[in-house]
Amino acid sequence: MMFLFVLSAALLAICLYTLGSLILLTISKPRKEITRYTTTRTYMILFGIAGTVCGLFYGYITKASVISTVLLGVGMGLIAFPVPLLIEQAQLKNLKRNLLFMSYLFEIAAKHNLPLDKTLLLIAEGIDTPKQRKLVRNIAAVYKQTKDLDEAFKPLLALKIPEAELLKIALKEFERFGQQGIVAIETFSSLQHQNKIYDLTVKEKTVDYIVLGSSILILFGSILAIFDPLFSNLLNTLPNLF
Amino acid sequence: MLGYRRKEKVIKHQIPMFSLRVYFSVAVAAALLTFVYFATTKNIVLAVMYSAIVLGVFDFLFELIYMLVLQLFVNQYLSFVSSFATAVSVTKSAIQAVKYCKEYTRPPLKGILDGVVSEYDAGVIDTGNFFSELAERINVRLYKQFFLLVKVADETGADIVDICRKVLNNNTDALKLVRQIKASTIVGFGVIAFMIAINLLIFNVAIQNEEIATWLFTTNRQDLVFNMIAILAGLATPKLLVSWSDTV
Repeated sequence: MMFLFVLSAALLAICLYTLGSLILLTISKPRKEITRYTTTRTYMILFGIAGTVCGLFYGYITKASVISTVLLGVGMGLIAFPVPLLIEQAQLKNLKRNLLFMSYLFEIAAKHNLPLDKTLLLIAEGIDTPKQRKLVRNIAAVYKQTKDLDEAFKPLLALKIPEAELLKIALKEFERFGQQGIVAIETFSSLQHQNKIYDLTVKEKTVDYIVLGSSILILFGSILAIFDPLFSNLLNTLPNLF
Repeated sequence: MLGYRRKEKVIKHQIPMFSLRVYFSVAVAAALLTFVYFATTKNIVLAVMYSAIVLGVFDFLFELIYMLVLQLFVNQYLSFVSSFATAVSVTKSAIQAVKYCKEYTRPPLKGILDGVVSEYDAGVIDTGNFFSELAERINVRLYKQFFLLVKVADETGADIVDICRKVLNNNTDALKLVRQIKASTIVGFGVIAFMIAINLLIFNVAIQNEEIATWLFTTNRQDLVFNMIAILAGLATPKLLVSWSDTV
């Protein structure tokens, strides 16, 4: 029964994924206009629907009561709904990790009149995630052709990272005022450093709790595997004794 | 793919024989053997559970090896940058500085520096590509980005010592925190491994009883599924913690 459920859930997820991709392809006539935000939102809705259908299906198969089936459907929907958002946030975190390095390079480049497109290419070299490397290279290519920061930073701004907007403003400031505008980039760099320290401090405080939580979960798993059958058998045999 | 390739490259610095493909094949083979053994001697549910746990254990060990190798690099980062800054201020040349301070580094960093410097001396690598090559080979983001900064500074004539000073100032606090996260992560690795061992021990003792085994494998499998999910979540936790300590 469990295997059937997992198989049906996987098949449903694949079907919905294909359907979602097809819908996105037909809705967006100029393909470039698909922003990450809309796709994430669409996938969130699709995942939510998939979760609800799977929950209802499982409830129907196991012949649960109507209330349990509905609750199962709603619960599964709520669990599946934020998954695409979490995946996107994890990808964005990867990009944010490189912002400090980006700001250093911009600072050096600005001080020594290195062209912005070359700086962006060097930044791309230092990024280890291929998808993001490609993104930065695209920005460099667009900037080289158009010399317009707004146009070049469009794909990065579509990711809705506030830091990217700040970086763009800092670079624009530098473009407008020359050497005097370096202050903006330096401020951005020091803010990034502070953010990083804050982020690490929070993580350092959380590590122990995460280890404790997963240890309790593992221990609880084994306890449940012993005591649930024991108490269930005991309660089932009690009426025979009295 | 979840950074496995990148991690493999880092591990290869210390263990050149390591191959992700072989490791993955061994993990799958071990999982399949476990599956076949438990499916024939016990039952199919237990077989699925143990084969999933075997895969989880292989991943757990992979993360542990990666973290220990990465530790060898990160531990000498600050001393490397400071000796590099000193050497640059003395020799006035970034490449000469690398040659000078490679003597004071420990493996696996020393091996990479030695390799690039000897190729540079032999004429295989030219001056313009020296730092790109170093950044390309090292695969540890902290060093890669530092070498790229030095490369840009060297090309543009920026003050390398000033950049090193800035990197040192900014990274000292961050690395201190990372070290604390790593220490907690290593303790976490041990605690979780111990807990999983206890869990499996208790579970094995429990299923010796026929009534409990009947309940777990046929009457109500939810307890078994919960236990399996708990163990797999435990095995996946170090992955999260390693990614945290890898943020610098």
